[in-house]
Amino acid sequence: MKPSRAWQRWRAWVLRQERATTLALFRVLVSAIVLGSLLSAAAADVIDVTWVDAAHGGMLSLGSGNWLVSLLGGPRPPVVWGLFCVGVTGASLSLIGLGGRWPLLATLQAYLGLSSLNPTATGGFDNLLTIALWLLFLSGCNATLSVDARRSEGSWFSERQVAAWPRCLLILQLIVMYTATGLQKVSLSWTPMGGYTALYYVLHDPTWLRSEQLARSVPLSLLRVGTALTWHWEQLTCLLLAVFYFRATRARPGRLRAAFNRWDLRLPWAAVGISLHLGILVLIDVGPFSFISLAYYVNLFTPEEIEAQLFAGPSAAWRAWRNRRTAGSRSSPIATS
Amino acid sequence: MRLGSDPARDGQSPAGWRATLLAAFVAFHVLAMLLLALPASGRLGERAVWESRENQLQFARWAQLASRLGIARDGPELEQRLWSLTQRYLSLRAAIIAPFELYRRLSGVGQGWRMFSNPQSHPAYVHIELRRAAHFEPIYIARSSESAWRAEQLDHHRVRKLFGSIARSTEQKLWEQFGAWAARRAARDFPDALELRIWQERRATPEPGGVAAAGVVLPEQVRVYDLRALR
Repeated sequence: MKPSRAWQRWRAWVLRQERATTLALFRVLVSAIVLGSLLSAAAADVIDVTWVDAAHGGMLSLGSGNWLVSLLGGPRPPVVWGLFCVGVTGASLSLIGLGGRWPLLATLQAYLGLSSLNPTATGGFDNLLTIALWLLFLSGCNATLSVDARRSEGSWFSERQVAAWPRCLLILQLIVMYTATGLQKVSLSWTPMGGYTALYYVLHDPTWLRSEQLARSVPLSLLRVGTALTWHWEQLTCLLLAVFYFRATRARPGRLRAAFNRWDLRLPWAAVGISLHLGILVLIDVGPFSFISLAYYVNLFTPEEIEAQLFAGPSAAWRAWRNRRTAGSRSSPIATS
Repeated sequence: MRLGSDPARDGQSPAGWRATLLAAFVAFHVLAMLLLALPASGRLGERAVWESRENQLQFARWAQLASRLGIARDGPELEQRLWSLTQRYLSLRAAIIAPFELYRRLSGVGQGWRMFSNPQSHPAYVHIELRRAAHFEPIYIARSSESAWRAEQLDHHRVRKLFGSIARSTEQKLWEQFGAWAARRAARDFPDALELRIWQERRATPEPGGVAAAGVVLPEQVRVYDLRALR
């Protein structure tokens, strides 16, 4: 393929549109998780402990912080609590979809300012949250399921088309995250040579344990199966790219494509992921990591699929909205149901 | 055309230089995501981290396989080879991701996915003790429901990560800063206390299927703080 043709195809792909339902649902979930993350830290009285400099009552010497914290005067209590309030307010507005995209940017910068202060107190979930906030800011996620939609169109639901690329990037982000973490699990205990014992060791580490008693009650055989499943599933997550590509080009010929499209392979992949994250939630405390990871899963599904599930019940509002829908709505850019 | 907006609604054609800019930006983001996800950590360049007990054990374990493949004869040789390889890789990675650093810092698209990559076989339990009279008595032990001073703070996942970092490396500074913080809080919470002592209890996780070895606990990283001086 000539470079100019490839570029034209890329440009056309970027300009594809879809309804905003999936991104709006993701916005609600991400905002709720940001709120949970910030408010739980405040409830446990660890805001000052982790994000205020030792010179002002915190635990560690934190330096001057990122560009925003530095501009505001460094990790002092008024700055840290100011960012906390901006984060909580911004996430609350984003949750209900009020104020357009700007609350998402304000939340992102406040959260980024706080979480970048203390690298020893951050986790993968902080990255997942800030990436989500950034891509949601760039998207049209407030087009539906929002106060903004209610104010501009008189309904909570809207058929407005928005750019589809943010949802595609969120799917790619999920694939990159799992594949990268799978490839970085280089300890022998993750491998068959180490007897697939990594989760056994994780459940003996007080850093993560919720309850020693609960952790010790899990049979070793189950932990070996869990380790093997986690390691191989994470590394094979890159195959989701092929799943989505073959779904998007299902009209083309090819035995491999037909084999991939015989079943909806997103579902078994998601089922394994949900099981692993539920196990993490029950056994170890890694903050909101499982919640935000699972929130990304909604992006695997098209707005049409989400709408069918979200409003499957006898919802009068949904029926009224569906009746108003015009025929011939556009299909998803990366997956068709 | 605005990012994420509907061109038809906005009354603008999706064609044109704005669409080209948008396509270029999305390509830039994808490239940034992929390159920033290349494994790296500041800890990879720290000799002290390589020399930690857990990593030395890993080198010894992998050396058995490496010697069979003719890569290295023993753990130290494997470590040396990996060290020089890793430092070259880190230099190359730093050069590759340099154009994306500003974007990462401003937009929060960092890609650190080193999760449970090296589970600990010798985790450490944090102990905090107080002396009111002749003897020290425990006020906080990690994961204990009985000795649970400020457990809401110390058991929060963000503070646990700090303890995990301290236990995994030979980092002294963080441990001492934690001790100073705990001493200031204890001086306030226990007006009659004389001294605070913090230490780590290193427990060897029994081999899978094995039984925990009973033995005398040898305190590590012991620090003592005079609380009277803090009031």
